[in-house]
Parts: sequence; structure tokens; C-alpha cells
Amino acid sequence: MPEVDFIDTQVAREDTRTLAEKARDRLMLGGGQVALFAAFLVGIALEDAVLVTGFLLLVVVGAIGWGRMPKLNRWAGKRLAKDKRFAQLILIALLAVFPFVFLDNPYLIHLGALAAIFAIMALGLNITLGFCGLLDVGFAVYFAAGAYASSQLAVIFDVSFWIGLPIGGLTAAFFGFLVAWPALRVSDHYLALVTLGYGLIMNLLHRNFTFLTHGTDGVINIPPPSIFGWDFVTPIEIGDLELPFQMNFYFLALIIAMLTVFVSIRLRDSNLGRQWEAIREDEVAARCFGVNVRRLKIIAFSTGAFFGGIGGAVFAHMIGFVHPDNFVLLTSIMILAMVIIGGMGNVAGVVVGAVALTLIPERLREFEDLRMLLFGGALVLIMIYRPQGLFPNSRRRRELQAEKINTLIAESGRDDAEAPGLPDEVKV
Amino acid sequence: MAVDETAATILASEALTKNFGGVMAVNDLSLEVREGEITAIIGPNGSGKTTFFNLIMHLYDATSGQILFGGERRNLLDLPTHKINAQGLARTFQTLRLFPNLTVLENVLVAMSAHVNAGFLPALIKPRSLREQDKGAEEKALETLSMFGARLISMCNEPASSLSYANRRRLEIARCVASRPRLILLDEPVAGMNPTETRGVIEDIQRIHEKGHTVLLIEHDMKLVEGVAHRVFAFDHGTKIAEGSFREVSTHPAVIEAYLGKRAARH
Ligand SMILES: Nc1ncnc2c1ncn2[C@@H]1O[C@H](COP(=O)(O)OP(=O)(O)O)[C@@H](O)[C@H]1O
Ligand SMILES: [Mg+2]
Repeated sequence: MPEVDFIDTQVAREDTRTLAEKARDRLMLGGGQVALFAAFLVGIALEDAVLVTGFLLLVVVGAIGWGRMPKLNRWAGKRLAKDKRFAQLILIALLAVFPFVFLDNPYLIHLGALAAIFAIMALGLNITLGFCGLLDVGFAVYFAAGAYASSQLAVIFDVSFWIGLPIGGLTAAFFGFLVAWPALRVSDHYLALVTLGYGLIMNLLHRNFTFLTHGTDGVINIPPPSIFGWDFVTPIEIGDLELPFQMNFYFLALIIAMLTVFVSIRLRDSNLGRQWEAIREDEVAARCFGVNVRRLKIIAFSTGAFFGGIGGAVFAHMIGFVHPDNFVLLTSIMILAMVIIGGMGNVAGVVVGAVALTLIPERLREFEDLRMLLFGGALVLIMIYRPQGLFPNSRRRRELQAEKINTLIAESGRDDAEAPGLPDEVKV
Repeated sequence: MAVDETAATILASEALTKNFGGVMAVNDLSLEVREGEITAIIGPNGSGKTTFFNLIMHLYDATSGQILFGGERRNLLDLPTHKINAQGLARTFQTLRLFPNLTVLENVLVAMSAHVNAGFLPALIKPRSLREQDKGAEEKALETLSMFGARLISMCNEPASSLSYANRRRLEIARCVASRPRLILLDEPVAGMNPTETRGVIEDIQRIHEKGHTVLLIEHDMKLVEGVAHRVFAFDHGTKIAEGSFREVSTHPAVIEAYLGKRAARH
């Protein structure tokens, strides 16, 4: 009877490391994280566009080198799996430290908040596109819906941000639901066309439905969020130290982004998420096995849109000003690029994609018009050389008990001549 | 193998017709599949076998006729595709249709969709009852995979795309069994396999049958169903040209002519 070697399949079996080994592993892991974070800080603090470009090239070379070393990759993956909780804690700690590094440069903290907002939206699109495989090229519609709904509620009706935020999300979800109906009658490329048209039409409406959006005047004087009379543009003071108010928005956006990550992971790992992925993989087969494709696609559209709206609401109240130019086709394409470059379906990858695509164009402003050209060129290159994105969506391995599986095999009473897992002779 | 005329009908096709813009893929087809049997549909390529399965799953609307299932004689053509599995029907695909980037185990879990809670809120909250249900489903899925010895289960955490061709065909069958159907539809389950693999899969099919599933299988190589099928339907040009035991059907002049070719009929 062939015994199965489960080294690969079983990731998180009981931790048998001694205390000293554990400490050593965690020190190495934490050290690695801090080093990467430090490199990131250096990169983001660079002022000179040429230096930024050099830094990016270095990152690209590093990433390619890393990708060329699958053994190291697997080793690191296993290490990480063992101390996942620990790594998450360190990451959260580093993200919390980030604004304190730049107390004298609030603009960078502002950029951090912006990156978190785009991460929220990219995670939303990742649900629609990454999980369910629905190409939505009009994501700015939901961004706009959330931004307009929550800001106008605040401006006209004096509604608190904390109520406007969920309403913004729900409004956006409704707009996702709206396009789902016609969109589900078509497939693939046509879906992209339908959502593209939707984005263009809605942006026209943003410009022309002035009673709702104030047209190209934009919605101005959007009040910042406030808690118990303290509002987010008032800096917090600790002793003599005055923390820039951008920090308030940074932490607000960061917390919402972390919640979005949590929801994404919960959904992905659920029956619902698995059925979404089945639709993405083969719709006909999914349907034949009882997956209610229509229902699930509508949920995917609406949920994705919801997070677009949440991002929009936070954006509006942070910037204080909403204009139709924020919601043009380029915005949709940027959010789409974040998901595709990060790696469709990979939650962590999408966050990295969102952060990178928010920060890099900002840091390249010196190049002016050239920057979009460079940027577009880089995107094309990435798509040619790494079409699955920087962090392709690898399958989650389940924790399974090797003994149990071997018992099942033994009970099946089949002694196969062919060794398990080895490819069959025949290829057709 | 004898044909038992007393067994209950599990699936009945009544005057079923499917016209693809002039091509009569299925043409006035009437037949009855008996509960508890292994039934084979044989027929040359293009004789409408796969189209018949697609109609059963309501992937196409029929031009006319109906397909009645179970004791209640429910017309499957009145149901949307995703509700048919829960009636007690599951199928494999002639051209493999696995979920290539899902793991082997997940492929099977998806097939159990009708038996698990896929609600939105439960997914977020993950209540204990759901966790237990999922655990149970996972155990059932592993059990189903063990039907093929170590072949599939040893790959349970690998993407389905990493399976060998023969194992992919096996996974298609495992996926069906996992959805706990009364009637399993297999569309050329041994296509492309070598003789050893073919024998193995045929034994697997017989084992599935012993566990209480009714099996309806399509096979264009007539010899393969000898000794396996209790009842054989021969198709040609979208309609049934013969029915009975393998012996009766394989010696039927219309079958020899249509199926083995005119030349064979002359001998
Ligand atoms: N979706 C379709 N559109 C048009 N013609 C089809 C379609 N599916 C099958 N056909 C035609 O119907 C006939 C029967 O096909 P099929 O059921 O696949 O045969 P079999 O499975 O017996 O080989 C063929 O002539 C085929 O070309
Ligand atoms: Mg066929």
C-alpha cells in the first residue's frame, strides 16, 4: 500500500519547535520584515525622480531574482506559515509606526492614507474580478457613488460621516447591483464593454446632474469626520508633540482597509467564495453542480461595489472636495491595474498593487506628462513578462491529517500499481 | 446481463427534439432509464449523445418534448440548470470541465454546493454550526476521493490542473459521486485512456453502481460496454435506433449498419 508523503500538503501541523528555535525563527522573520519595511521607507522618502526610478528598478530586479528562486520561495513560505500570527502582528505594528517616521513630512502620511483608500477599493474589485472572474472596467462608478452619497448627505443634511460611510457603501452596492442585471446577460469581453460604457455614462451624469453632484463645480466644503466633537483635521497633541492631522485619516483608512482584508479573506475561504471561484474557472460546470451563478455574480458585483463606495466616502471626507474628474476612465483603469498587477484573487498581492500604484505615480510627478507614458510602458512590460501578476493566486493548502488520509486510502482497499501522484503513462 | 422490465423508471425522455439551426442533434427521442441499472448509450460521433446530456442538465432549451425525472416525473426542462443537481442528477463532461485552479479537494467540495450553506452573512460570521457542516463536507469529500485509492487523495491539496489526464477523468467522476446523486451521467468516461486505465475505470463505475447509484453512460466504442451495461440504447442521427441487452443491440441490423458502417452490414 503506498503511503503518502504529506510534507507538502500539510502546512500547519503541530508546532514541535523548542522555545529557542521559535525565538530564532521569529527573530529572523521579524528582522526580515523590518528590513523590507525600511527599504520601503527609503523608497517612499526619495524626492528626486531619477532616484525613485533607480529604486524601482532595484525593486524590479530584486523581485525577478526572488521569482527565479522557487526553492527559497517555498522555504520562506513554510517559515511564514508557521509564524503567521506573529508576522501579521509585526506588519500591523510597522504600519502603525509608519506615520511617526514622517512627522515632519505630512504629505507622505497623506499619501499613505490615499494608498489605504485605494487598497480598500482594489480589494473590492478583487472580489468581483479576482474571486468571481467578472471584468468590471467601470469601477470608478462605485467610487463616485460612495463619495457623492456620503459627502452630499454631510453637506446638505448634516449627516455624520459615520452614518454616511455605510450609506455610501450601500449606494455603491446598489450601483453594482444595477449593472449586474444587464452585465450578466453577456459574457467575457462584452461584460468589459458594458461596464466600460457604464463608467463613461455615469461620469457624464456626474457632470450633468448638477442638482445631485454640483457638476463640474464639484461638492465643496465636505466636513471632516468627527468623534464626540473632535474632528479629524484637529491635530492630536501628545505633550509638546503635535501629530499632523493627516495621521488621523491615515489610521482611519488603515483600520477600514484592514477590515476589508478581513472580510475578503473570510469570503474567499467560505463556501460562497469557493463557488465564486468555481464560476470563474468554469461557469457551466459550476452550474451543473448546483451553483446559482446568477445570484453569486450579483453578490460579487454588489460586494465589490460596496467597498468601492466605502473607499469613495473616506476619500471625499479626507480631501473635502469631490469633482467628476476624480471618477474618469483612468481611475477605473488604475484600480483595475492594481488588482491585475498585484495578482487577481491574491488579497495580499492586491494590497501591494494598490500601494505601489498609488505611490509610484505620485513620486514620479517630476516627469510630468512623461510619467503616465513611463507608467503605461511599465504596466505593459509587467503584463508581458508576468501576466498572472506579481503575486499569483496560489492555492491555499488545507491543514489535513496525513494519518487520516492514509487510513482512508487503506480502507478503500485499492492497491494501485501506479505510485500516487505520479503522472499516468498516457497523455492525450 | 439480462434486462429487468420491472425496475422503476428514473429518467424518461419523451419525444425530445433539439434543432440547432437545421441540424437535428436530437430527433424525437423517447427512452426510459431504469432505476438501479447501468445503462449505456452508444452511437457514432455526432449522433446526439452529448446533446442529450446537455438537455438533461437544461443547458439548452429543447425544441420540443420533455425529460421527466424520478417518481414525481418532474420535467427537468422546467428547472434552471443549477437546481437540477439537487434533484439527484450529476454529470461528467466529455471534454473535461474541472475547475483547474481549484485544488482537487475543492473541486469535489464545489460539487457539494447543494448540500452546504453558501450564505453571505454566515461566510463572514462563520458560526459554529457552519464550521461543523464544512468539516463534515470536507470529510465526505476526502472519503469520496479515496474511492480511487491514493491517486486523487494524495493530490488533494494540489490544483486540479496538475493531475494527469486519466486522473482528471477520475476527478470528474469523483465530483459527481460527491454530490450524492441518484442518477450519474458519464459522458465517455474512458475516452483517451489506455486499456489498463480503461479496465480500472470500468471497475470503478461498477463499484459506484454497487453503492446504489443508477448510471447512464455514453460510450462510442461499443465493445467497452459489453458485460458492464444492463441495458443499451443505440443512437443514430439524434434518435434511438435500438434498445435491449448488449447482445440484442450489438446484433441489431440497424445498429450494425449505422454504427459499424455499411461495409460491416454487408458481411
Ligand atoms: N451547441 C451546438 N450548436 C450547434 N450544433 C451542435 C451543438 N452541439 C452539438 N451540435 C451538433 O449536434 C450533433 C450532435 O452532437 P453531439 O451531441 O455532440 O454528438 P455525440 O456526443 O453523439 O458525438 C452534431 O452534428 C453537432 O455538430
Ligand atoms: Mg459526445
